[in-house]
Amino acid sequence: MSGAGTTRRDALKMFAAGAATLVAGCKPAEHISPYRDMPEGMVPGLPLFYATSLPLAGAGRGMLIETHEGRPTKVHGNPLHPASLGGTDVFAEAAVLDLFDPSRAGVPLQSGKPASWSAVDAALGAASQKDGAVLLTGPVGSPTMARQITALLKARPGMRWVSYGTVYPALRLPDAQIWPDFGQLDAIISLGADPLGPGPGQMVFARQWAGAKRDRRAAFRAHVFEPGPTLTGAQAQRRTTVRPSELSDIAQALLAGLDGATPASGPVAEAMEMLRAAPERAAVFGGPDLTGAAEAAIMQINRRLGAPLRYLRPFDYWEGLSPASIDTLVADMAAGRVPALIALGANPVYDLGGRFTQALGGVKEVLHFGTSVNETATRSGWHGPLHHPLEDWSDLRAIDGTVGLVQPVIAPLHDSRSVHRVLDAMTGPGADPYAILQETWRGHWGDADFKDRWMQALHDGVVAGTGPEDTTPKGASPAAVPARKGGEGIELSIRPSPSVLDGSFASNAWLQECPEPFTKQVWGNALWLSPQDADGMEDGDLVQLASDGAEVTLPILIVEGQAPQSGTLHFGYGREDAGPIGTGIGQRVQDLGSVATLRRIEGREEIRQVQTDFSQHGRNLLQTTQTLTQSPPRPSFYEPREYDGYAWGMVIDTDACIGCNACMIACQSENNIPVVGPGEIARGRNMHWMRVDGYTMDNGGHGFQPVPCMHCEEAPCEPVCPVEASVHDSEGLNVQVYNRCIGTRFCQANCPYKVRRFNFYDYTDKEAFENQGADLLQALRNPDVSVRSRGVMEKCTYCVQRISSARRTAKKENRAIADGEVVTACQSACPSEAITFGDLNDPGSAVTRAKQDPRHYTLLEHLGTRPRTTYLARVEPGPREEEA
Amino acid sequence: MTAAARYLSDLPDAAVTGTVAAPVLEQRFGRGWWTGFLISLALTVVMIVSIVWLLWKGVGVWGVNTSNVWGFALANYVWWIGIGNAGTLISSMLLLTRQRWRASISRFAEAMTLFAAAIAGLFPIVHLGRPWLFYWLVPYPDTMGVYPQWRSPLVWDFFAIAAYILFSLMFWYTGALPDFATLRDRATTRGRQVFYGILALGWRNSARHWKIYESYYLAMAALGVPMVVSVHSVVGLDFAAGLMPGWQETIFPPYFVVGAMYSGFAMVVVLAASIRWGLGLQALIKSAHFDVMAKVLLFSALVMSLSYATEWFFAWYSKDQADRYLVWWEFFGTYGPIYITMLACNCMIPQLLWFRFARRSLAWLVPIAILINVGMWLERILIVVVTPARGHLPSQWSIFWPTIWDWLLLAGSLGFFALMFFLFVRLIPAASMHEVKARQYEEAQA
Repeated sequence: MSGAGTTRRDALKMFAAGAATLVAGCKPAEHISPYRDMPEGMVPGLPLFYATSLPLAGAGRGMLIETHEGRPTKVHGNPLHPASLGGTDVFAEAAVLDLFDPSRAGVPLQSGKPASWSAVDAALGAASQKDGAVLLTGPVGSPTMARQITALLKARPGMRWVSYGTVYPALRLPDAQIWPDFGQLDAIISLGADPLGPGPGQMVFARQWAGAKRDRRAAFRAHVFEPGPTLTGAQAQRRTTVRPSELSDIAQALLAGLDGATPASGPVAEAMEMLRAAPERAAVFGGPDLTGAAEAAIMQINRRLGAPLRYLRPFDYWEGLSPASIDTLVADMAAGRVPALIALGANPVYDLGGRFTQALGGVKEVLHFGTSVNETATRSGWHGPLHHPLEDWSDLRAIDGTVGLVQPVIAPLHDSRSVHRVLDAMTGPGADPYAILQETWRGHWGDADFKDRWMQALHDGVVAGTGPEDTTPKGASPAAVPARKGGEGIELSIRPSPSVLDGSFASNAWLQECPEPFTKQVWGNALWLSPQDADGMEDGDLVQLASDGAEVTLPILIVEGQAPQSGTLHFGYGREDAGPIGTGIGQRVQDLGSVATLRRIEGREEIRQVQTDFSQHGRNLLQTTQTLTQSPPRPSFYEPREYDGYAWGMVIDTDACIGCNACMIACQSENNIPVVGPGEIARGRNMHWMRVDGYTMDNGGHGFQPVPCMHCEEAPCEPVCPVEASVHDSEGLNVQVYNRCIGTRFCQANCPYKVRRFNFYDYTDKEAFENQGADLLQALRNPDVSVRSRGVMEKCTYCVQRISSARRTAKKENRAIADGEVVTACQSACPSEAITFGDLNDPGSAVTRAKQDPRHYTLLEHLGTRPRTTYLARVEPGPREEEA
Repeated sequence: MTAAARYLSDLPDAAVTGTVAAPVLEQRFGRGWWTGFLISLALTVVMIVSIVWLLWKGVGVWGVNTSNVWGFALANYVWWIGIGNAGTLISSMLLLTRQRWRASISRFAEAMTLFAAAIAGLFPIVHLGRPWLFYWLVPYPDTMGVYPQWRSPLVWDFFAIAAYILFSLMFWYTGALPDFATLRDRATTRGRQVFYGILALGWRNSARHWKIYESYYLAMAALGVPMVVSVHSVVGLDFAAGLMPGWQETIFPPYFVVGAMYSGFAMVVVLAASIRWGLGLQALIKSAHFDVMAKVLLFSALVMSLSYATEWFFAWYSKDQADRYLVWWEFFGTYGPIYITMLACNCMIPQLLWFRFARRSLAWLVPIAILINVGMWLERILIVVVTPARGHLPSQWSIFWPTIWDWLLLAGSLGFFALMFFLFVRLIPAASMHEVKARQYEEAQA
């Protein structure tokens, strides 16, 4: 061979050298165990559960993660954790999808190009040493992170730490978390507070609220003043719509009322009466739209009432550590006084908007660390991917102060790092997060019985000895929140989205497709207007809102229960860099002020809703104690079926249901339910087996009715199926045989409850929405549930895989399945324990008792389908109160 | 001269044969035929493309949704099977009741039945989520021991359609045997002689042949009447066996049979006019034929109107809120204009047929018949989509809007139907020569 080219021999040498380099260049060897040395307690085919905490707006919620052969597939509530109490919320349920999100950041980036972690470390070390460098984080709920930041600031005196929040827990004062004792509360007046709404407190407040309602039905009353419908308002016995600016006046009027003044307006007088009637058992809750003066007034009212409230140290308050203000930071950045900015786990470009983005131009060196390549990452010189909380070691404080450990349930999927290691890398070698975490707790516990305490804390998910710590709030200074401007336009109430919260869940397809509770809107946001303000406009007509120099164009939704001259908006939408799922969904609204001018503009935008008609049309579907109709079972030509063994049944308490959708997402996660995407939703298709119907009640309130399959005794779907794919099993389940189904859809056509869902396309694989068919997502599937193919019908199975699992266990132990042993996914998720499931043949089971409740009724009973799933009626106050 | 004479031609037997056989044997088809043939061929390609696309992507390409699961496919099925009704009715019911006027129109009416029923049979198969498994409706010996579920109207439907198509094919083909023999005998080229010779199955015009033929044909006709009633009753049961407002009505089976007769006769009128014009069969298909078919249409229109009124009455009488709301919504809801159009086409406009001029003038009758077919198609669509759009739970109400693929398949099926007819008139005698001649002979004897 001649010429200047490489010879065959040389080429082989180079291959060999390259291969050797690749081998040598691999990650440092770690100790791994082959699977023949299985983890202790592991049985192939049986799931393992690990206790951990998941952050929401920085605060921890204790969860149990179900893993199958090392793959986390399902999030369950941790009954031992005070912020979960065994329930979950939509964000926790969807965390596993976030973990496996195919669009997650995979490798470090330098100006958008793949880089190595050593290069990132070098840049990070250099940046942190610059005088005036800033570390920017969200609310810090991790004791270890707080310890690390304290140490970092000590080691780098020129560095500042800035923290900002987008969503705060309900009932949060600037320096205290209000902790009501619902067991002692009879009367609640809420001025725009939404403790049952989305946020880190939702599960615990919902559990306690439902408990108070159930235990003291005669006494427990809530009166909510609010501009637009909230979940708390829907649960309240009395709801009054007011403009946001009126809320502060009501606070003052209530305070004056305590002094003996007579409040003018009827509802306020009524609220006053409620407070007077329940001394020491009443409280006033303040919401985010109040002025500082109004907040102070509420604190004074509660003090004078002797309200059963505790004031707890907030989850993100750390002794000796106080973050600098974000406003100062923005000013400094714009003035060029910030040489380096390290954004750690935060997305300030989206969260803070234009003013921050402009100021970012004045910063030379920007480093971003986060789980995804978001708006901030694309504007940073460096991006380092962070572990998802399910891959990381950490610890998190819950909103009540209890600390839970965070443990990895899977090895990191990508070349990402722990947030603790990144913090450590600024001053040191970048230690292992496990060591950093243990160091924190060794500091608390000492060496003596460290191992035992550590194992116990890991096992329980809760660190013993941590918990609520009382504090004395200074009270908001009246100037803290300025009074709302009056003037032209409509008053806005801008709240976090119940689906994607502050936008940090925007790339989660389950959550984008999780309906907003009142309008059932998915994949987007809209301006809620009262029917009076709609002025001839219809749902979907475009309007332009302008205030404080910001302009937003978005469609409207007409919402009964929205106060006139006010509008509700949800933020968390309009993301620019949120992967294929979240980018460009909805409109960014957080730049708008509290009052905006409204201008109708030409054009419409189709609003994607999974329910459009909220009237019951006089059909008494969501029954109340006022309208309850119970009739004896209708005669049937058919012999009643006999069930020798178990007879599974479900009762759903519509009075306890707060409409939070946790059951829907739990069902989606448990049963491998695909998303269909906005286009399919617009065509009227969706796949949720469990849905939550919303109806306007006769008294103007809003009620929720979760609808899984009814598992009818005389199921209309069964006789119409030509191939016997829809059949009744020996325990009364109406089961669907997927591989027998040929897709005539007759069953759904004939189902009066319309609970069946059809795979119009191959939603899980070939025709999956955007990246939802990615191979990585295969790991997320529950191995106990078939993944359905195109062309077959599917529906709620009462989590038959869980029934089977309980049956296997019981048979091995030669006993019957005990009551409470089978818990369906929706039931276990429900934070307010609205769902009861069990064996109807067991006279002592909870579900049998629930069926004997005087509030018990059957949906569409007159059709004679005799469903196994039945309901308990909503409790509505009598007409006397309604007139008032 | 008997009353039947006005339906008979004045032509001698040889001329009858010549009129019918000439187009087939001489193949003088001009630009008109080719234009129509190519257009319908193009539409047939559209049908094939839309079916292939459907099989490739799934039924999601249609406008069907989670609550409104059936849409065009089932409506088109019911409509086509309805059109497929008239041929058999004309052949068997009219034969048994000795309605002599059927002789000159029965052949193409039966062909229409066959083509329409075949197209109709296509829709329930392609509408399946997994169409390649349609044979699971057949009770074949399966190693898994599974069987169809006999309570399902869809299983009855499967048998009804399959039996109906087989019956129609046999009845139509055997009815044409003597005519195929005529063509064989008159054919001048070897190819045609072989082609029609095979089709004629050795028909030799012997008395023995005629005796067997007559008793066989009458027996088939006797079988045909219950068949035609059962197939449409079962189609009605697809809906009536349900539990949904607007479907669960005992009137459905007879109402579907009459509806089928209605749309079928309307289609026969349209085809009779086209064939008469296209093949120059004015001597055989006379005004009197149209007059009597128009009377059938008028009668059906009255029965249909009565059926609609019965639906409204029983919705009110039942005191069932879902039923009452459904009827209100039919008039004033999203599909209200379509419902009103349907009532106009099916109930109002056919009242013109009380007048003799409208019955005997094709300029009036053909547009009316086309409008009836449009109205009946709208009725089928409304039956299929209104009920799921306004079912028991308001939370699940959802409207069906067709997509381009829904329309293409409908247009394609019409094109395929036309294509089959264009081929039919070229290859097969469009009127029953032997029967017309037999009637003329009987008339001459009388």
